[in-house]
Amino acid sequence: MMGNKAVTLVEILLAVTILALALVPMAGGLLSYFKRVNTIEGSLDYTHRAQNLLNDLLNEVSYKETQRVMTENGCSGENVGALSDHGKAVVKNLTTIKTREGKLLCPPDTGLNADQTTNTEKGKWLVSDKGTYFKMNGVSYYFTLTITNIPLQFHWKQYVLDVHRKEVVGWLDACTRSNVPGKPDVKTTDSGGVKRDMFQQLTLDIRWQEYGRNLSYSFVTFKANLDDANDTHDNSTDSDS
Amino acid sequence: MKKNQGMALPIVLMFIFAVFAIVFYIAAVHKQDKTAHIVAREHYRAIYLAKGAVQLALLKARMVPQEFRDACTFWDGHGTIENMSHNFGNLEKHQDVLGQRDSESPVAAWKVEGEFIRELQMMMTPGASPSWSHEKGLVVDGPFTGEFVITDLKMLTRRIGVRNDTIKVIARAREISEMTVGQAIGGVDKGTGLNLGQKLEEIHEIILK
Repeated sequence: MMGNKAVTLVEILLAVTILALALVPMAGGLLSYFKRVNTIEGSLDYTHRAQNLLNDLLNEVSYKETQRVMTENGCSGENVGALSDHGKAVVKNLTTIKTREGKLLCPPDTGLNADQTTNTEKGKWLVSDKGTYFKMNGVSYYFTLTITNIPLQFHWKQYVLDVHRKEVVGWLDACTRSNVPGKPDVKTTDSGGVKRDMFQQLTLDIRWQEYGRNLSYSFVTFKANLDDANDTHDNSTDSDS
Repeated sequence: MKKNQGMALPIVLMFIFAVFAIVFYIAAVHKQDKTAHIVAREHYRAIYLAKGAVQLALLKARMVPQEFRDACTFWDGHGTIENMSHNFGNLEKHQDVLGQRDSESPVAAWKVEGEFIRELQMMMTPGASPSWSHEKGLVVDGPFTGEFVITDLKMLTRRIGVRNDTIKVIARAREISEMTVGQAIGGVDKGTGLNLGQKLEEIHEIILK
């Protein structure tokens, strides 16, 4: 009877030891999984917000407005129109950007105590020195937009025609903004006669902190001046500003 | 009493086995979920690179509209180049400029290939010096490595004298990442194992002066 009791005690101690050793990594794995599940909602939301922002920047915001935002954020635009112009502006406050219809791209969540709230109102934003942000499940997702001028130099075939035979007999390379005499130069002014670069790189950075880890994600797209690039100077058509 | 002796260890082992099974299941789901998440993130990035490519193609058409129309005319075989009417009997000798005739839509669209779209491409690498060349297209600095290329540019409606033209642009873009080797967004390149990228097709109506 005593021998049996001793075996049972050893058995129980062994079982408890195995249980303790096995449960530690298993608990860690489970905790990691549930932490991740908890943040899925936030990650979906920042992805959707980022996509909405970029779609609006490409389709709803005029080129003049993005250039205004660049100037507002310290890009002087001294070399605008030159091939050397790689002017860049980091925009932390996205709440001032307007669409063509005058709506705010990121409407601010007014009257909110940012320190106390867990979630910002759907579609609404707050601003801090780290960027424009929203809160989801207590996590703040900070958005910053970097706009960079990309000067371009397009090429194409300039056809050489035999008028009598009505045939194309050859072609020449041509390029824009060339200093070579006799080659065509494409205008880099808008319909208001203002000199502009016609292409911008838009980089949207999203940063947040999750369980002590600093995480980030980014999108890159490009915006062209399809509003009035190369248009003849005519103030009557200048309606975007 | 004796009947229950020696039961503690088997019970604990069975319990641990059950918990292990659950953890392994969750780990497998988690791994699939993580991979899907990475592919989705690269998919989103590729989409917005491709949207940038479409902007570049439309900008070129808008900035050099006459040359764009000439290229369309040249493809079509008849029409107006430099304000003169032409009818080209032999298109084959011009194919190095224009590429192959589009057999899928021989009448409905004017397809621009070759020279006009050759430079409409971009390579983005972190730390790259921004530049633009006829051969390489656009080289830019960015937060991740990616690229786009315009594969197709067509004028669907040609309204000379009317200001709007309808243009169809097809672009391909991708993030070049070792994380998605074998996890294709748009199929896998057999040589490199990298995903073939995202195809984006957009139709725009823009004003060509």
